[in-house]
Order: sequence, then C-alpha cells, then structure tokens
Amino acid sequence: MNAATRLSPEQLHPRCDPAQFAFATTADLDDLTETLGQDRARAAIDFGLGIARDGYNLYVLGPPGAGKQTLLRQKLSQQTAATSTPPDWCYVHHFGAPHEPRVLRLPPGRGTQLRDDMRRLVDDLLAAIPAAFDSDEYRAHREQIEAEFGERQQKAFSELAETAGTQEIALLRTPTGFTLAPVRKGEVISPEDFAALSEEERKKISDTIEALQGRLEQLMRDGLKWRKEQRERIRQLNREVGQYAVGSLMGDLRERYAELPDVIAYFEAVERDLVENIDDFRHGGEAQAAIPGLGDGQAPKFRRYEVNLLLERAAADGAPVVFEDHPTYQNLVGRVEHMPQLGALVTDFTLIKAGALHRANGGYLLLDARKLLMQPYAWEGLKRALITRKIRIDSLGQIYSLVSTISLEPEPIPLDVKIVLFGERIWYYLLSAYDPDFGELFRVAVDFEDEIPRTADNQQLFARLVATIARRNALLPFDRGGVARVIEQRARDVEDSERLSTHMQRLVDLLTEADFLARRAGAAAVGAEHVGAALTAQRERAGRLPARVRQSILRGTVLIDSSGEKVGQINGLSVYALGDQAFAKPTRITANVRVGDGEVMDVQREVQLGGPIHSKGVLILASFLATRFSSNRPHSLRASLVFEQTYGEVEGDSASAAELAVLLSSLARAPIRQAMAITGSVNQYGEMQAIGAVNEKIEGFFDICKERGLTGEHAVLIPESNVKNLMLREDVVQAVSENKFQVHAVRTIDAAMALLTGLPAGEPDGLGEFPADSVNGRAAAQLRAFATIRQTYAAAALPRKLTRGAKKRNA
Amino acid sequence: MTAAGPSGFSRVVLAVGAPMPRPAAVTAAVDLAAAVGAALEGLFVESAELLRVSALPEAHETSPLTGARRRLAMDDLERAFRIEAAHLERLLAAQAAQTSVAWSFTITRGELSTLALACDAELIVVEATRRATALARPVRVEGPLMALFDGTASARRGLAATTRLARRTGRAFIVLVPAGNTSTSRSARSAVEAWLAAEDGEAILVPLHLGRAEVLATARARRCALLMLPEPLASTWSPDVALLADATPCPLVIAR
Repeated sequence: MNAATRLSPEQLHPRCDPAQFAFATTADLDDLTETLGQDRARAAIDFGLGIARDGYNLYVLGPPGAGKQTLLRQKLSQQTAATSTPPDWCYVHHFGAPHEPRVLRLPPGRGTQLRDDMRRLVDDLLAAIPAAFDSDEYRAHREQIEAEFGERQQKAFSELAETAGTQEIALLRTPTGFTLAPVRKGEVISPEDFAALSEEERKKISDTIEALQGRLEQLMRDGLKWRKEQRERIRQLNREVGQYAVGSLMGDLRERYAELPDVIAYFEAVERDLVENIDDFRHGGEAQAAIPGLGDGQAPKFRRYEVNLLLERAAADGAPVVFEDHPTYQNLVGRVEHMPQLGALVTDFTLIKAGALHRANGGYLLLDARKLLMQPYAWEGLKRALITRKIRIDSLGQIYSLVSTISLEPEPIPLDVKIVLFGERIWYYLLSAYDPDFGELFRVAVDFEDEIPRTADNQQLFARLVATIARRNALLPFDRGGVARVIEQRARDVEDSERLSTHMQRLVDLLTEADFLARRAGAAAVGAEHVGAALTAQRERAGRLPARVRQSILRGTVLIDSSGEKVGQINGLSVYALGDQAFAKPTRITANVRVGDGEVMDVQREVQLGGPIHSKGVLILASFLATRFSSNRPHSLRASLVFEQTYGEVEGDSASAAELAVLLSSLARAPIRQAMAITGSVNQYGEMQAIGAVNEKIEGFFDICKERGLTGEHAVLIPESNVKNLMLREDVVQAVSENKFQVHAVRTIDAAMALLTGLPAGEPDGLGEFPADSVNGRAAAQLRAFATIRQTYAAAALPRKLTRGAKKRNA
Repeated sequence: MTAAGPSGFSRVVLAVGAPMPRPAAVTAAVDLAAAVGAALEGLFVESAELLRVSALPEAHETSPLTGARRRLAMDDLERAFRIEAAHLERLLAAQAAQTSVAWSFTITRGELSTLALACDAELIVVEATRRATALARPVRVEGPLMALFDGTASARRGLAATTRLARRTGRAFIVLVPAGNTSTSRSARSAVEAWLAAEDGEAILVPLHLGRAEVLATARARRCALLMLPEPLASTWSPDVALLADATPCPLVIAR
C-alpha cells in the first residue's frame, strides 16, 4: 500500500459471503452445544469446578451479556448430576443455653423425618401424659403422700396441743396464725381471773407458754420442711410417672436414629427436659392455648421440642446450585427473625431462617459481584464464611449495636461451598488490587473473550449459534443472507472486520428484532433485509442526540465547513460515548502561528478542558515540528491550537494528526480542503497511528456532507492501521461505490497533507532542505523567518542589557 | 320461723367460725337449701374465746407463713373477723344468686357450737376451725355425699335432704347404716331402702360400726363432699359440734 490509498467499497465493509453456507435456513443446522470461542473460559471453569480445595472459588470476568451464566449453568448441570446430595441441617433447642441453638446434621431427607417425628412425639405425649396422671394408680400414690404429710402434721399438732392441755394451756387458731392461752376447766381464762392470779402463778403460766411457744415455732419450721419433702416426693412421683410415659415413646425414636449419635444426644436432652417439665403436658394443650398477641398461636412451651429444618432436601436432588439475585448480608448468611409478643419482639430457634450459603452448602453459589459489593457488609460476611468455613448468623443490627432486642447466637454450620462470582473485569482488577483476601479466596479467574477471530470456521459455528438461539427463543429461522448480515454486524460491534463479538445479549436482541420485522412482513425466514431493517431501527431509536448535533451544524450554530479551502482550519472528528451508544461529529480545529520560543499552546489544556492523553498528543506534535524544522536553529514558533465550539473536556489523541495538519497549514500558509476531515494520532516521526471508533467518525462526517449534498470531493482520512477496523454503514459504502464519497488510508502526516492541501508535502534533500513549493518547504521557510526575526530582536536587546550591566559596575 | 316448704324444710343455717371458711362448705349449704327448698341463713360467729385470749396480757400469735411471733391485739383480731365475715357474705351472695335461694346473713359473737345449735333450723352446716388440728384438712372433696342413718327422726330428715341434694347435684350417695345382723341394723337398712324406693332415689348402703372414728375415717377415705349426721348421734360423739366439724374432712351437716 502507498503512503495514501483511496479505499475501495470492499475495504470499507468486508462482506460475509452467504454462498459459503451450505444451508438454506438455520432450521437445517444443529444446535451449538458449546459456547462459541470461549475455550479459555471453558478450561478455567472445568478446573475451578473440578478442584475441591479451599480458595478455588471462581470469578467469571466479562461484560454483561457475554453468556457467562449460560456457560456456567451448562457446566454446573453436568457437574451436579454426578455429585451427592449434601446433608440436611436442623436447628434445635439448646436446653442448657436457649440463646445458643444447636445444629444437627442428618443424611438428606432425614431432617424432614426428624421434624415430623418430634411433632408426633409432642402430640403423643399430650395424650399419654395426662392419661398417666389421671390414672387411679397415680392418684392413690399422690394421696398417700399427701395423707402421710397431713397425718404427720396433725400428729405433731395434736401432741403439742395435748402437752399444752396437760399444763392447762390451749393451742388455738387465730385468723392469721396460732396462739397459746391458759385455760381453766376447758375454757380460756378471763382477763379478770388472770389478773387475780398471784404473781408466781402468772409467771409459771408465762414460762409454760414460752416453752410451748418454742415448740410451736419449731413445729412451724418442721411444717415448712415437711411441705418441701412432700413437694419433692410428689415431684419424684411425677418424674417417675413421666419417665415411664416419655421413655417408651423416646425408645422408639432412639432405635430409628441409632446411627446418628448427635441426634441420640439431642433425644437424651429432650427426655431430661420432658421429665423435668412434665407438668406442661399434664393438662394437655389446654393450658397452652394461644393467647392473642402471642404470635403464631403454637403453645410456647412446646416450641422448644420443634425441629427447625433449614432446608428440605431429597436424597436424589444432587448438589444444589443457587443463584442469589439479591445478595444482602442476611440473604447470604441467614437471619434470626423476631415476632411480636405482647408488645415485645421475641425470638427462638424456630425463627432462624436459611440464607443463600445454607441453601448452597454442599454445592454452588452464584453471585453477581457488583450487587454483592453494593450491599453493606455482604462482601465481608461472605469472606468471613469462606475463611472460617462456617456459616455464622449475626444480625447487622447486633453487629452495629443498633438493636437491643434479645437475639440468638446459633451454633455455626460447617460450610462447604464453591462460590462463583460474575462481574465485569473492573471489579476483578479492583478487588485484586485492594483486597488482600480476594486472591486467596478466588483463585480461579474465568476470563470470557469479548471477541473471536472471523475465520471461515467460526462463521460456520456462528451460523449454528444463530440457529440455536432462534430455536430456543422460538424465532423464525434465518436464511443465509440473514446470517451473513448478522455476522457482519457482529464484526461492526467489535469494530474489527477480522473479528466477531461474543456478546450474547446484543446478538439475541438483534435476532429478536429481525424476527419481529420478518414476521410482520409475512416472511418465512429472516433475511438480510430484515436484519438490516432491525439495525436501522435500532439506530433510529438511539438517534435523537446525534440528530440534534447534526442539526446544530446544518443550521450554522456550530461552524463546520464542508467545502472550500482555508488556511489554519481543519475538520477533526470527535466521538461521543453515551451509555451503550457512540456517535461522532466533525469538530473545527484552528491554529495560529507567530514568533515565539517554541511553545505550542493548547488552549484546551490551558483552560483545563484537555485531558492528559490529549495534551500528550499536542506535546508529541510540537516535538515533531521542532525536530523536523528546527534541528539546527532556535525553534522560534509560538502556536495556538483550539477545538472550536467545544464546551466540555477533550480527551484522547485521535485528533493529533488533525492538529499537526492545521499547524502545518498555518505555518505553510497552505489552505486545507474543507471537504475533508481527518482522524488519527501521530507519533514524533509523523507516522499515523490507529484510533478508536473509526466507523462512527467516518459516518459522522458523511452524515453532515450527505445532508449538504455529496459532491464526490468529500473524504475522510484515516490511519492505514485502522483499515481492518472498517465496517461502515451500507449508505456510506454505497456513496463510495458511486464516487460520491471517499475514504483514504494514510500512513504519514506528509501523505495526509498532500491530500488535504493538494500540494506536495515535500521530501528533504541531502542537506535536509525541503522543496520550496512543498508544504514542508513553506513551513520551513516560515520558521526560518521567525527565527531571523527572533534573532534580530535578541541582538537589539543585547546592547541595552550590556549598558545596564556597565552602569551597575560603575556605581 | 319460716314456714316449712313442701319438703318439710324451712331453714338451713350455715354456721361459720373464723378463720378461713372453705368455699366447699358454702357451696354445700347453698345447694342443700336449694335442694330442699329452704331459706339459707349465714351466721358468722366471732370467737369470744379468741377475743378473751387477746385481752390477756402478753397474748401472742405465731404466723405459719413467717414463723414470726407478734402481739395478738384485740383491734387486729376484730379487724380480721370483719374481713372474714365480709368475705363469707360475698361468697354466700354470689352462690345464692346462682341458685335463687333466699338468704340472709348475720354476724354475732360467742361460741360457735352454742350459737349454731341454738338456731331454729332443720339443717345446720357447721364450718369451724377452732383448734390447730384442723390444719391438715384435705382441700379437695370431690367424692360422694354421705349420710349416716341410725333410724332416728333426725336421721330420716338427713336422709331426705341428702337424697334431694344428690339428685340435684348428680353426685353419688352413700348411706352409712349400722353393721351387723341385728334388728336395729336390719330395720335401718329396710327403712333406707323403702325411702329410696319411695323417692326414686339411688344410694349405696354401707354397713358400718357407727363410731366417730370409723365414720370420719370412711368419709376421709371416700373423699366425701358432705357428711350428714343426725343431731343426737353428733351430740353423743362430741358436745362441742365445732370440735366435731374441725375433725371432719368435709363440710358437716347436722340434721335435727
């Protein structure tokens, strides 16, 4: 290729030839079972899912819609089918420390069984225990104990009363106790008679009463002791009766769970508690009836025998695959809920709820990295669970001391899970850089390709991918032309005629819209025209802002010339990226030159509206100018560069070729053709370098020119290295075919200047001098003139400086 | 005196000596009055004996709850009597209202036995806890009604009243008759059977040596809800009916 090449229509949009496909429509093709072009990701997934070691969790990198989840789910469905079902986990009451519920691990399916068995046990006890205590045998035993106590007490009182009687003292009951009083002939002595007694007799009575009083008080103390003994004996009797009723039922349970020692230990604790609290069952459920405001109405005392089965699993389920779409901290690690009870919030182990980690334990948990990182404490909570290999349920309220309600500290559950995080690359790199735990916990990076080579084989596979999506989404089949058009758009999506985008969501969107249009047109298959119409419709829907920008140019608000010639003025091309769309428009760049000390003033940078890469480009072109034209003399240029009518930050170096061209034009006084625009960056040697969004930039200038009327003079100059990125719109290609528009690939700034000015750029001779009529020659002459002027002024200023120095010395 | 109703009963007295009358005694008296169609008179007797004790110098009482000894003052005692009486009256009013029994209530001071037996009534329910031995009385009396029949007119009246009470309350009814095969025992049994047949009543006849100890032990063993005794026999057993009521494990009714 020459230093400047006018590109053919074929180079502007390398076609996908429908004739390469052997099928009539995609209905003839088999489904594509593998994800297209993701061999690296596939291998990483196989490794990450296969290795069963700590820290080998997966982070799946790639843009949204790249098909990451689809591939993961495919792999997981193969993986889980061969994996055993994880155990059941149950929370049960801890009888020794109710605020620390115990956890039980059971084989899959046995948790449900245990829960049902415990419910049945309570029901059975509610029937069996009242029956046991209502029996004649129990009543006889109890009455025997009560009678024994009564007789013992009565005998003691009788003996005291008898002893008192022999000493003419009566033991009497008062409304609030007992009293001892002297009697005569069976009657309490009257105060008068008592007063008539001698001092000695009164003292004797007083002494006697005092002595009896001591025995009475002892009797009272004994009474309390006997009552305690009586209560203990009744309690013991109750225990024995209860033990018998409970023991027979618990015995059956023990046999059923004999191979599970933890469950057997739990049964022993249950049995002890049942026997200790047998009275709860004696009156059946009546005393436990629901009280308004007491929550779910279940008898509170019996809740402690419940089994809180966190998850119900069947033995044939296999390893779980859980996708948590809302990964809050509590949705991950579970929560302890509360319920209102008489105005207060209370809780117990039955209100422990499983989180995603519980559900995925023994299997796989899929999480969106961005959502996870946005939830307070969720990332830390996940890391802590992975590091400790335990699921510990703490409420955020408790962690931050925001809630003072009494809560629980459930026993942690051992964790065995493989985490798969999905996210964009930026999250992966940020986490790698700033979180020291990340590398330890997520050792497997699954990096999805954004694009694949546009080889003949891959185009065939792509056709099968279209067939698969069409079938799965119940779309019309695509004919060969339709598939070819889709493939061309996939190249355009990645701005590379030699590669194809792997972005699945955008592909599905295009196929769906093309299907819609084809159906509306009554077509049996989706053709190229439907795909093209869909693309046009998509562009039109997103076209409000580009249209407004175009209008501002066409109405003369934004000054852009597309005809004529001007010195120091050129059409650069700026691209605007808004969300997922990008469009470009021409931007006028102007330059002024005068005598100076070699500085190129970038106005954008001076007012802090130039980004660093833009500034770098300006510095490079300044270096190029100085090197090319002033290697053996002072570089006596002062130039200013302006992006006219830009009011925001200018970034990027894709305009540096335009800036250099306009500076050369200004220096050489060489007018630039305003029917042309240029994009590309330059290096210090004047070589053109590739830039991004080349298609949008060409189309942005084309649209303006088209609106004003294409003359055949209109052209865009691009770096030669950008030719492979060309996948231009159909109307642009058509205009080029009809010689109404041109696209030139240039290798150097000199080639660009020749096209822009119509003058030869000029090659240096052996002495480094450029031909006088060339752009470079005129520029060099101007710089020499500037240098001469500068030297003249510098010489004139020197005597004055010397004179001032002599005066100082004389003084 | 109130005119006797069709059943021959005009008045039932509930004689209560402090402290702490059992609700079962009040229930028995109300049910009895309702069963025989008689008026009910509540008689609360403030113990003259205790008041006399409180007038003695250095009179003390010991609380079974705290074991503490404190001065037994007359003022405190009278206040306690008033509380007990008010409590009894409320209990009586509430239960009588449920059965539409005509009732009255009197507070008097004296000796319970004397005052109870001085009442002009066919049936006297005696509730007393004079002596400390009453401490061990069983609280629950859920068993049958029990009447002692010795052939006397009082016993017949007691049998008649208890039969009606059994019918009203649906409780089982036990009639204690003299044991043995003497003419007395045979005629007593025949009389009871004849009465029951005439009244279409049902009862279990239990032959027993009708001594105080045996009768009270049987009432205790059977967890009787009420014991009906003819007055002559009760007087034989104990001239002080309050002491007898003290020893009885259930409400005691004297039939006259």
